[in-house]
Amino acid sequence: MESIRKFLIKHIVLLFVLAVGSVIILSFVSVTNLNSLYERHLRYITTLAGKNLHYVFSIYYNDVLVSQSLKTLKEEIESAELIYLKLGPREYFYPENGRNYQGLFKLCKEVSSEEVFHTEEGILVCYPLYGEFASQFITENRKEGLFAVLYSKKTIDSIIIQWLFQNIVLFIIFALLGGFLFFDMLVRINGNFNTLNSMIAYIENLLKREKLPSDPKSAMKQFLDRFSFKEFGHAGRLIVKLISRVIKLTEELQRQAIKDFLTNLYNRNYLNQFVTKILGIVQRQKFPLSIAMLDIDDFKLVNDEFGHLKGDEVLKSWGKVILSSIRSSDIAVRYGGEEVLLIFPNTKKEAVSYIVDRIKKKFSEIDFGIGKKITFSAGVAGFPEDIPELKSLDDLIEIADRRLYIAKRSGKNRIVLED
Amino acid sequence: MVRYRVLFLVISFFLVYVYPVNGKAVCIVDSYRIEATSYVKSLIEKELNNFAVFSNVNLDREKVESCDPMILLGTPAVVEAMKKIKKKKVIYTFVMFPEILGLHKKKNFFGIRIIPLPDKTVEVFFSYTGFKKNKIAVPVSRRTQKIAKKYLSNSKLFEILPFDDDISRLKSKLSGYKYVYIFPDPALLRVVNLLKLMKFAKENGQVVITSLPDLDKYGVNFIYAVDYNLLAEKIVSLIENTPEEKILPCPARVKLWSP
Repeated sequence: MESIRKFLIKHIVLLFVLAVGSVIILSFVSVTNLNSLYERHLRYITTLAGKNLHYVFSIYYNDVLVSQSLKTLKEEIESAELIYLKLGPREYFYPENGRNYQGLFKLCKEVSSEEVFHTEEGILVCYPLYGEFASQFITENRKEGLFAVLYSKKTIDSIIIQWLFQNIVLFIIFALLGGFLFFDMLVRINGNFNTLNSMIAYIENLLKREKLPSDPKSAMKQFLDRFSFKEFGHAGRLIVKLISRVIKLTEELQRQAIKDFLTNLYNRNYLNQFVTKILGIVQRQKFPLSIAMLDIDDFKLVNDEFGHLKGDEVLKSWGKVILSSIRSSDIAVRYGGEEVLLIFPNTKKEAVSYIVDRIKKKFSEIDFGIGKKITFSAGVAGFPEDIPELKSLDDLIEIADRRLYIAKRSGKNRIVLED
Repeated sequence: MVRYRVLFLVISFFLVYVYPVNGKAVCIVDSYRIEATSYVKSLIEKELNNFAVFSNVNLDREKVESCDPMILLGTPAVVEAMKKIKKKKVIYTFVMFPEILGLHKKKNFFGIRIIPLPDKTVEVFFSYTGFKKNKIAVPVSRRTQKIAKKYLSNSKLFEILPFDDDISRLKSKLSGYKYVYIFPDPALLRVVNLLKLMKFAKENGQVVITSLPDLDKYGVNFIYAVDYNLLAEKIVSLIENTPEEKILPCPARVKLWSP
């Protein structure tokens, strides 16, 4: 795949080459046309002057009149270098030294209509003089003389050079202006691409992080503000939207991976991750750790009598009560169907008894509309009160589980702290 | 009797289709390509169904073979035809002086004059205007004098006034005449010479007569000249008919009378 920057540069270079080519071709065509136009112009001038002289000298002429007329003509036609006139047998040159070019004018001898010759001496235009008749019935075509003018090449050369010079200057001006415009365009497009690249690089780094920012818009606003083209802005905003959505989905996935959907308590998966971390700290720091294993009394009966929906409602309310009752440092895990494990870091067993009791009271106040209160039993265990050394959380869970069993056996709806 | 009728029908059938089988067409050669010849050519073409037009004056034998007859417009084509066509019927016009070319002696050449003869022109002039017959000056260059004599000898009214190149030198001789006839002389019809003549004639109250149809813009008083429509009709009629005369008179009419 080709980069847009490379593509643009390539096409701009191509455009420039095409422009230069077009100017060269156009100049060549124009110079050719100019030459032909100038040639036609010389043809007309010569024809007009020849016709005029022919008319005048048809009425009357003498040597002085002819040379004077040719002189006047040369003065009027700036680019005329030499004028030749043949009337009958007589030949006239102006200026007189034109006789040296007699060989040149031999070119005109055979022409039957006006003709142009490009010679080393200049541009020679020949115009044969024919008699002009009043009636078209007279078709006699007798050549009565010849008129020829040698024009200097300097005139047309100077016109062409001046024209080319003007063209080159104009082209340079247009090329410079065009260059500036292209440069500005490139700089602006390049700036937008750079911003887009920086944004992409930033997002790539962002995605490598373990924890994604909750509000990527504010972090990426700096990039969005730098875009000067609407389309780039659209693309940038779309990227931000996509990233926000990715972050949101990631957070949701993370939450679903460690929390129970129904009770909003942590699940066993989180417990396993947490245990490895907390146990290491507890073992190193030797601070107390207590747990409580909670189990709703006769939950099966609730499910059987009032249906699973009611059971779910009970569990949901129970989770809410638990979360609202424990501290932020405490952890509540749905351990089984209606079993909840509470972990209290840096807390002694007695304190746990108070917290669990608080939960009990709050939970007992809820009316589930089944005509009776729903209670739960709890077994509490603590380190270092119950075990001198905490090698595994399972040791504490085992003790708490045992005490829960004792609580159930002793009539339910109670908290057991000792065996 | 029935047998003869059948034979007649068969022969008629062949007669009707002889032309296309033969494949020969009327060929037109315009060797002048001036406005007048183009117009006449177009009139002839309108009248014909099967014709060919040659743009080249050089008459190739093959081309000539496929034509019957040939219509030639202008002297160059006629001169060429005189060399190459010996038996085929040739109709020509736009030849100023056919007798000079000896066309009246050619058996297969039939021409129509493009300008009326001078004596016919002056005859029409006097009858048309009612003017009293008087001597008519005919300025002619020495180069054309011989031809002029041949065409002007029928009438005693004409008096040839020869000049070299410049008609101005004739002024004193011209001033004694009331009428001037413009003979188709190239030297006289040079624009400069004709302008000089007309200026002089106007200043002296002379009536200028001509047989050339296109001199009206120069201020000529009387023009008795060819009628192109009649000319075309006459040419077309010559395709089928063979007249006794080798050179037919110009189908002319009075084109201008401006006293």
